[in-house]
Amino acid sequence: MVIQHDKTDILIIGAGASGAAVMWDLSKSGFKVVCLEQGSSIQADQYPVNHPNWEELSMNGWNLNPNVRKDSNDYPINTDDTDINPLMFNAVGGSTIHWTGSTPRFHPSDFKVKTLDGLAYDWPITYWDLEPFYDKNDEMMGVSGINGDPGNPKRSPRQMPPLPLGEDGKLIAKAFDGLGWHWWPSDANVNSIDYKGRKACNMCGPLNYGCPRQAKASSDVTYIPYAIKNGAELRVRARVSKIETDNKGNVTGALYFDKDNKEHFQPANGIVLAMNGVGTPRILLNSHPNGLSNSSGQVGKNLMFHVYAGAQGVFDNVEETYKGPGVNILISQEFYESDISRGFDRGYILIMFRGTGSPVHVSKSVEWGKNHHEEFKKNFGKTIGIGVCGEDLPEESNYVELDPILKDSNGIPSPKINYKVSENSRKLLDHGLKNTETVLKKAGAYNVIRLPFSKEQGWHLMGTARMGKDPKKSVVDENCQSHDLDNLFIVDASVFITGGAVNPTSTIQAIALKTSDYIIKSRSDLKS
Amino acid sequence: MLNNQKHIDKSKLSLLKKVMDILIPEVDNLPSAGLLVTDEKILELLNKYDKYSSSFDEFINALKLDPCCKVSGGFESLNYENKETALKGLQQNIPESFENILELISLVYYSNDKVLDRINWKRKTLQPNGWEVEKFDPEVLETTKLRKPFWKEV
Repeated sequence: MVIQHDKTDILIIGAGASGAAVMWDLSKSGFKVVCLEQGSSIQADQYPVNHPNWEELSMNGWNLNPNVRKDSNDYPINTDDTDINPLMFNAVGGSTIHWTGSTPRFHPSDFKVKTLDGLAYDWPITYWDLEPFYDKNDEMMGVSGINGDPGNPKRSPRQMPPLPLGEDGKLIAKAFDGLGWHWWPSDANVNSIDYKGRKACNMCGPLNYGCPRQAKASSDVTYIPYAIKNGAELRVRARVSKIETDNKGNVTGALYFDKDNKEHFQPANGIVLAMNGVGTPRILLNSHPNGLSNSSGQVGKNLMFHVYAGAQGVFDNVEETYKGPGVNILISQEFYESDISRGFDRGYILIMFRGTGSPVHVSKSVEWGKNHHEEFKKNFGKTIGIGVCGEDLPEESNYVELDPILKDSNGIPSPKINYKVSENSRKLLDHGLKNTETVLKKAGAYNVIRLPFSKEQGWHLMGTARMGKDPKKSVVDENCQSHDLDNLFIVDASVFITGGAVNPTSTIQAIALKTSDYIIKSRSDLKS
Repeated sequence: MLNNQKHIDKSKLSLLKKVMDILIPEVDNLPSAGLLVTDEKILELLNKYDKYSSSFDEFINALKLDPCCKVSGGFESLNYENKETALKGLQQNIPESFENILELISLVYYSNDKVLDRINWKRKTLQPNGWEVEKFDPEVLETTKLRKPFWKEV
């Protein structure tokens, strides 16, 4: 028997970066909001960095890959046919629990890829349409950074000064200066000073495994407490299986399973999907034989990750490079904008990271055998890394579908990822890798080790329910409202048309807030 | 993922410890990894995580079948060079399991107090103390801020 709930105005599915932002904004504006999250609420003392075996925990129960983590909150994903594994976290806060807090913005040119480069599609919105929502999000999440970056449009005042560069960061900055290449301190949703009741970062290092100080802005400690104060209801361990519709072209609510495998139905005037670029198409495809909101046939298509590779320099003039945040030090956007003379389309950023880190990580990365201890000594605290994060263009042949066999613990079909790294992405990475070596050598590295392209890099899941003006070619319109069902909205990175070459979270959240602004201003019909 | 207690064959565990001796040899006053780390520590991780136990099975089986080890006494009877050759073969042929075993060995070795003392790693738990890093100094921007804006205005 299905347990029936009272109707709500807006049902949000997913309490991650985007769902939490919408939950806060709508609840603040008098909408009755229920949010269903398949994961649990995580308490600060659960985070690995509180425990002496934190490295063990980070490699297993807190692994970024749900197929390795195998937590009861996760669903299995078929990754047999993908070059890149999708990484995600299922909990209140979603993948902001394991993100690094890097919060660069898309460039204005990212919204005009077709116009500028004749590739993919333009977005139906511009950077300038999103700018006020980037600012609104910055205020809620809190940005450590500094204005004046010549590689980007001027920003609103940053809430906090940049995180420390450290001696290693200064060395790399000087190398970029010496080459005449751009660099700037990273904008980070990590507190450099106390902000909104959350403590300043104390530089413990790993950012990927939750922050017990709440210095890193995961949405469970930024938006959600305020949303709950506004009266929004958050239900955890609530895994949605299907969106239901009526015969008038409206969504009516969602079926979900609770932690005891009991089935519920939550009716709503409107539904906002915020389950990420794999979870959202999965549920749309599972909700109708042809996929819900899929008259365009684009649900699940055009999956984009960012492509990533890097290099690590070994130095004899740096010490203890495991001290300080692993990333959020500095980035270079020298190679961001398109330049066809480079031999590939679009661009990339160079991101400094703090080497191999702690003992177990170093041990894994250096030679085993006779030379192990010597190599460990050379590398431990003596390495600095630079990563290349490149734009991955949309292709219909990269897609998410429902696996015909694999299912989660509630019997809901699992997603299957079909993805191949393109020739363009490989050329882009080669170009970027040469430049990482140039910077590291300029900084004084006596040895530079290329970090091979790894399958474990699918942090950013984008493009699988894209936005557009043409209902035949896109799933949602410029307000993230479904072309097919006018009370269904999608606010995660599924709606991205192209992916830029920077971390997507600030753009995801800006889009989410733009959508909630639209609902507040133009969809009072969804309010009871 | 936590598992129920598994049955781990003692002879296989003993073989793994011989492998550990090659992967992380003795240094200064510390014995090699297989001699330093207790069985309990290894068994704890094998029992806790499928990733390690399944890789352990594949690794040990592959090692036993490796042509280099098809001699009387198996892997343990080989000289150092042949042991190294056998392990390099495994690294190439079963890379995922090999990496998982290397991870397991790194975890048990580099969590040993004597090892951590030797490398002078004093912060086993990263919180609540974190690390001290000097605050950001805007003077470092002197050169880079002089550049004219170069993002594309569209």
